[in-house]
Amino acid sequence: MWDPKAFVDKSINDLKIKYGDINRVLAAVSGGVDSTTATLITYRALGDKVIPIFIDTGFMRFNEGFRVREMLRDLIPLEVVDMSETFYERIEGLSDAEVKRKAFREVFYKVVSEIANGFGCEYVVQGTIAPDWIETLGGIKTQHNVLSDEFLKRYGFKVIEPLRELYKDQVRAVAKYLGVPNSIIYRQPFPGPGLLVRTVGLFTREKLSIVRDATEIVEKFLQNYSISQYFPAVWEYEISDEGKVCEEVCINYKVFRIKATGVKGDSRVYEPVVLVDDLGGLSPYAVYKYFNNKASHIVWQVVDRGLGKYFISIRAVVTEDFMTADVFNLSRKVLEDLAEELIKINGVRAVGYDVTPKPPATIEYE
Amino acid sequence: MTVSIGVVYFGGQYNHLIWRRLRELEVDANLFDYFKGDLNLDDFDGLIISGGPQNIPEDIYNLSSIADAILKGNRPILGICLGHQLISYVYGGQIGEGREYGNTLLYVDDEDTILRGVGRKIIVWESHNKAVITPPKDFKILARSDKFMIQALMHVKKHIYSVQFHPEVKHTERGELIFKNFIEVCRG
Repeated sequence: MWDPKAFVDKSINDLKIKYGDINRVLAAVSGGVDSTTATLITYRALGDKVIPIFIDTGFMRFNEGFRVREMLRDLIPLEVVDMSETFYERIEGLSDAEVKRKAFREVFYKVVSEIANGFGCEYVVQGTIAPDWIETLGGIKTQHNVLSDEFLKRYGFKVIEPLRELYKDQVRAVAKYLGVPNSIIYRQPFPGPGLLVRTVGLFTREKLSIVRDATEIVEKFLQNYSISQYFPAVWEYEISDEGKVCEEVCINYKVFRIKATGVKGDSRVYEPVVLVDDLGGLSPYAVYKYFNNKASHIVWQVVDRGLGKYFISIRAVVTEDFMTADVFNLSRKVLEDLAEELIKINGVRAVGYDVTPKPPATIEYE
Repeated sequence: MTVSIGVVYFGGQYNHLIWRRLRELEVDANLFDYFKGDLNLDDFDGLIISGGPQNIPEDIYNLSSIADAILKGNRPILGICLGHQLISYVYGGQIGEGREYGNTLLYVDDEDTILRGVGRKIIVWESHNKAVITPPKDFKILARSDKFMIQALMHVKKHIYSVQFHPEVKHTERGELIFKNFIEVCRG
């Protein structure tokens, strides 16, 4: 059994030796277990040399900054900094997943670097964990929290990553050992670029507002199931193609105009998302095998009211370490009840359930 | 005695998980980047050749050092995914198009050595764009799926084993047992 105490003792000791002499460290906390735990370990080692801030990128969930500040009230003095306009100005109008992620990362580090310089910090704490840099090395996606050496040089600060070798389950064990409340330890993961990667395709403020409202509904609705990660994503209901695939049964499908990321045979793919409705008696959780050559995500339609501009996809997966993920088996009845709530959001035409494991899909869409 | 195993790294996203599983089983595990060419096989009790984004044979330049290790080495080898295809290719098997992703039902026809004790049917996770279509000479087939007949192989004389699926990911059933079985082989 892996021992969190030994890890924490060693980390604190190492941090004291390595960074004991430095002036100040900026810790950007998102309220997720990774950045919170990384900050706490550094805080334990270096005390009030560590300055914890929450950067509101504008892609956070409803009232997230203030909720996080409250949750961490007894642990760290967290300051919320609203930078949303800076992010929107740079990213509005971009469509491609990697272009959006890279633009986000560029703005994020520019902002961090400005704040860090403002406080006279030379170092920044990051909650990078093992899958972050492994997936980035493999070219599957650009994680916003993995800094290239070139990037570090360009923005002139150094990074402290106390969790770099750990997987999620180990980070949770460390957090528990450090006394982090369960509301944070078991808070579902939320990507660095936040709701940006869930406004699939072209980024607009209208889509962002829809996905933010939908997130509030989905999180409340599914919070009592044992799902590792659950969230909605939104894109335009625009169909570019239709077709039929046949194996034991035949399945009609529609192809959305947007693309989404997947991982097939250790390579990143950026492929269409398909919508299926009548499954001809096949289990919805077996349908993805029909689309190995065609799509990265397969979405099973739950409701279509035939009117409106947008599609909402519900994603709910089970995973221990986020390297592989299985689709959570939600009943049709539960999905319909949830879709009924989501379809009330202005502009939403249809709602579906993503029935693709990782691989061949990624957990997120971009 | 601590067993030491070298893990040849081709850039696959689960390579680090192999390293982690081995360390959990108290193996001295060492990751090597194949393309940096710093592998010395004599340092280890066994070798794992892992997954990667390349296609065989077209994407693997300078196969000679790994091919030598696979053909001439006398230490146990376990190939996973790309490693499975690489071993088959080097021994004269045929690789063709073949995709499986996510959970897959594995039929174990022969619970020999690395598959000892895993059961006749298990769920395994796959992520491959190519597959072994005909097996190499001197290898026997241990397991199959609905789509592909060659999911696990072992050499009939040497300690060479391979699996198309990923025993290192959590969603694969009995994955840890497969590593334990291989570690036993390495222990000799």
